[in-house]
Amino acid sequence: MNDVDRVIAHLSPGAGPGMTEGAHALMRDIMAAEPTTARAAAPAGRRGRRSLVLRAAVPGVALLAAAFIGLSWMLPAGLGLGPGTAAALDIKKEDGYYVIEIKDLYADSATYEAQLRDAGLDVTLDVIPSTPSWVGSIFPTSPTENRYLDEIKTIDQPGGCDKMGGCPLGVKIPENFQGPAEITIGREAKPGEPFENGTTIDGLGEPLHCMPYVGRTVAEVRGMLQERGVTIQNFTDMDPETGGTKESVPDSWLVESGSMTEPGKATLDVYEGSAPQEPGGRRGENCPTS
Amino acid sequence: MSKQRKEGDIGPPAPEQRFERLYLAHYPAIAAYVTRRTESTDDIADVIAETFTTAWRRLDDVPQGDEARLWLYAVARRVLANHFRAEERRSALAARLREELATWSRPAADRDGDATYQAFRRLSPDDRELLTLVGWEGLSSAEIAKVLGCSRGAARLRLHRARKRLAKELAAADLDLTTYGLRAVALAEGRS
Repeated sequence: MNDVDRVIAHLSPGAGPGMTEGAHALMRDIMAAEPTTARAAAPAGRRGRRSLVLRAAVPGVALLAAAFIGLSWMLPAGLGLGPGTAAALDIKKEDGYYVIEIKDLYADSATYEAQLRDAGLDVTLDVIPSTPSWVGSIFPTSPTENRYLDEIKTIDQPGGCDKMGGCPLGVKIPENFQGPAEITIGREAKPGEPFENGTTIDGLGEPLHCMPYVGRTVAEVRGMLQERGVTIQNFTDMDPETGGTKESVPDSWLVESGSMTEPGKATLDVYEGSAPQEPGGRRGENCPTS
Repeated sequence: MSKQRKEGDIGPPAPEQRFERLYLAHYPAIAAYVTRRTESTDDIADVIAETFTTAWRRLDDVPQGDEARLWLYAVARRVLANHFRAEERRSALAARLREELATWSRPAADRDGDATYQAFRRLSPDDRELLTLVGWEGLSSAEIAKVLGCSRGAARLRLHRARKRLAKELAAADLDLTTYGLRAVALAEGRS
């Protein structure tokens, strides 16, 4: 690098927050769709398609699964419960760990933070409205090191779990944890409240789980959603030149992807296709195998 | 294979594994590239999402090794160019990222009063692009050639000219070039 280059380097704006939780979430969302090249190469039969989609479902889950190892963030059984108790959190020490129960899932971050700080923990808590897949999910990251915090552990419910984000009972924070940590927890959204975390509409726990909808027409997917009490809020036209958010598109257009925007409402990524394609989509997560 | 498999009991095979590696290896560089060239945090999230979605859709086209990073820069560059021509294109992806970026406070860069920044702003967009790929991304002229899709020779030449023009701008602004070393002066005077 010569001197002029150093002048330029000196002018560099910030590089941004780096590999954050949102970055990981984006990776999972992108991989929830099949790569076009792989789809084109896949055998037309059910077997090839199925195994491909099964694989597509794994990495995101595996990433989160790393979190669900230990405990002590005791979540109430009904994550949709409203406020009612005085303190937002119940914090106690047990066996070298902080055990924390969230009493009020709708408190603001500052309330949690104050309580955590009083307990001597350099931890912020962010409880965000999430699609069913992510309700109850717990995601601890380091705001200073930009990494997932393996030190903070969660415990899964014994037995099965029907949510993509896992079914943790709580989190364990070692007493000697220095911090800082930022822990994001998914809760149910209130009616009309936009989701801040979600996945595609065929993800585990989402309305079209196991339903092949990719490549179907808008009319078909609208019908599939209606049967499950979901209406379409808007569309994203994927055309790079003329695309954007649209209130309506022709029924014959094809659906590439979709996600829930708020309870009972979805948005679809669509494009003007010549003919419906062989329907595809995510499968394999507890889907019927027949 | 017809037996239902439990999640997590198989490793992530080829396309997903490759994409995950690609993403984790290059996300920071690509995100930084986009962030440095975009004002609105919503736009940053959209451009990052579109860049990596393109990589996922065209995974077979992504070159191996560090070439992948240059390929991603090239895609991000095109997405950036298209993005600002299109109106209101919010990706359905990246909701969480968008939220994070909205609360991320960009380090205050008091650049408006900075004479070197003003000199930089007077350069053509092409010159600025070349210089920032070196100064911000740390790319060599050979790497820049790949990102821009031109020959190495052309990249070297264009870079040399851009450096020279900036050095002239700095000299014209009567800046204390000793801050940056005498070589800048030499370059401005055509002695390099």
